[in-house]
Amino acid sequence: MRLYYIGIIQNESKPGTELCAEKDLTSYSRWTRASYEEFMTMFAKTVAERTRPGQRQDVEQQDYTFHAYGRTEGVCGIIISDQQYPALVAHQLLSKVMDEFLAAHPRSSWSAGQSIAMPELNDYLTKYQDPHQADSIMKIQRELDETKITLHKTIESVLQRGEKIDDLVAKSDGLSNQSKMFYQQAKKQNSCCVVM
Amino acid sequence: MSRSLDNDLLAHLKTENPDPVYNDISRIFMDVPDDELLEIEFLGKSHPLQPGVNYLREGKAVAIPKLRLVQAFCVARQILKNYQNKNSPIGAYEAKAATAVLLLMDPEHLTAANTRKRLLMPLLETSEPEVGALRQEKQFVDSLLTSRLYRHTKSLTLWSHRRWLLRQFATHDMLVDPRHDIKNVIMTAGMRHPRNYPAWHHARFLLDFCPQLAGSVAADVKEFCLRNHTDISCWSFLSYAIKAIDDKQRRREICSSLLMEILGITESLRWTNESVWVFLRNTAATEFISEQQFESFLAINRKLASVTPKDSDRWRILDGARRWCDENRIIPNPDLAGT
Repeated sequence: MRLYYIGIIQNESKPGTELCAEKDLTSYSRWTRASYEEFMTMFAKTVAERTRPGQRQDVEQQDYTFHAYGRTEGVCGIIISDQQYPALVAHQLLSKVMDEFLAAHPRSSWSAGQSIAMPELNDYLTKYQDPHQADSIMKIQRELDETKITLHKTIESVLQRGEKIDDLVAKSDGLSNQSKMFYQQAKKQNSCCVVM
Repeated sequence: MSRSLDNDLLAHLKTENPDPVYNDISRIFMDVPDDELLEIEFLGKSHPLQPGVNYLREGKAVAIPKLRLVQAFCVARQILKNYQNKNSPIGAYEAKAATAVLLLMDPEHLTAANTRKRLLMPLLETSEPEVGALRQEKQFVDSLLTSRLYRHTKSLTLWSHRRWLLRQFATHDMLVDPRHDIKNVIMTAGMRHPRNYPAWHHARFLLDFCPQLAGSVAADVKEFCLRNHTDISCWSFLSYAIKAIDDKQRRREICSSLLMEILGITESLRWTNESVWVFLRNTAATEFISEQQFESFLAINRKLASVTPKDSDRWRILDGARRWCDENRIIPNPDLAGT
């Protein structure tokens, strides 16, 4: 069970802005890491932009799950994990992260999309990789109503009618040409580790 | 990496001189560092390199374009073929370099692996065996087994070669550190390619070298299992490691403490997958588990089943685990009941 990304995205206005994020790229090889980093941000923003205030949702895509928690304040927390990571643990962690972020940073400090330093994200990303710590957060955090978390089996199911992932990738400003080519190549090879 | 070659690649192969490519790539593996493993990856078309640049290197990270690998493979194959001819001018160094490239392209290339064995033997069958050559060979094989190379991490030929190598270590009184190898080679290969039966089968071989380490190895592998709880191969090995603990009292203590710890996490994280429950039912049914602990197993099983849709796959896994124990449980010694 792995965590790859914890981030907070300002999703009140479109396109969304990544205010702060930490990524664990150690699963990826040296020369593909940069592409995976870009894809994490791009897909996190894609999901956040399609998460309503007050909504919790999980979006599965290949070997990954995007856990999203939209707050009414206009920000959305995103965790990217593998599909083995317990969804409830991810959402407990999202509750914790969003509460701490909003308590520490007034709206004026991020409403225009300014980057925010939140060093705790790196600690949480490391800490909650450990199943023992995941176990402890389940025990101490408040009860979550699992039935209120909407589950989508693909990213395309959160897109609007007619929108395609391939088009979003091709048009994205946040992806280098190399990353876009890598995406096409990974799709063709049908390997077990297809990008996102 | 797909083994198929597309038309662009084939066109390139026909136009370029592959010898400089082969020389560059083969040299990487003739000088593997003593103190760290190489991390090798293959690059596709999305990562073009400048002309004349045949690979990328940054410390232990090495990246080889697919085109360059195929070019080098064609040269290596010819060198090995020439080496196998009678009175061949190809020397041991060249042959060894060629076999490295062959195994990089095709980890199941048995002739290349066996040629490497035959090249090592003369160095060992002397009054002063060159044991450094064995260590270097282990670094080479472990680099292939732990890199992000999909087919290599599960290659029967490479794991078999490693087994042969460690037997040579034992023959020449060289230290084999099973705990280190399980943590750094097996677990890495297990992460690169989940449900990696050849890797965990090799772990059994390693443990058989030093069964007195079974308790420590079980503790290490338990942590890996918790992080990779859908991987049946590591859970199976954990059961094997527990059974390998020689002292019966210690086996009982470790078995029961592992069961209770893993049950606790299973309940908390609501694990209902088959790999975890096969391990739990196998362990709970042994004679090392007291009545009280067995009741805990049943209670957690029933609790998770009560919140799982009845007759779903997950519910059947939970129900099946409980019924399996009904049929297979070894009743513990009554002297230990209630402990």
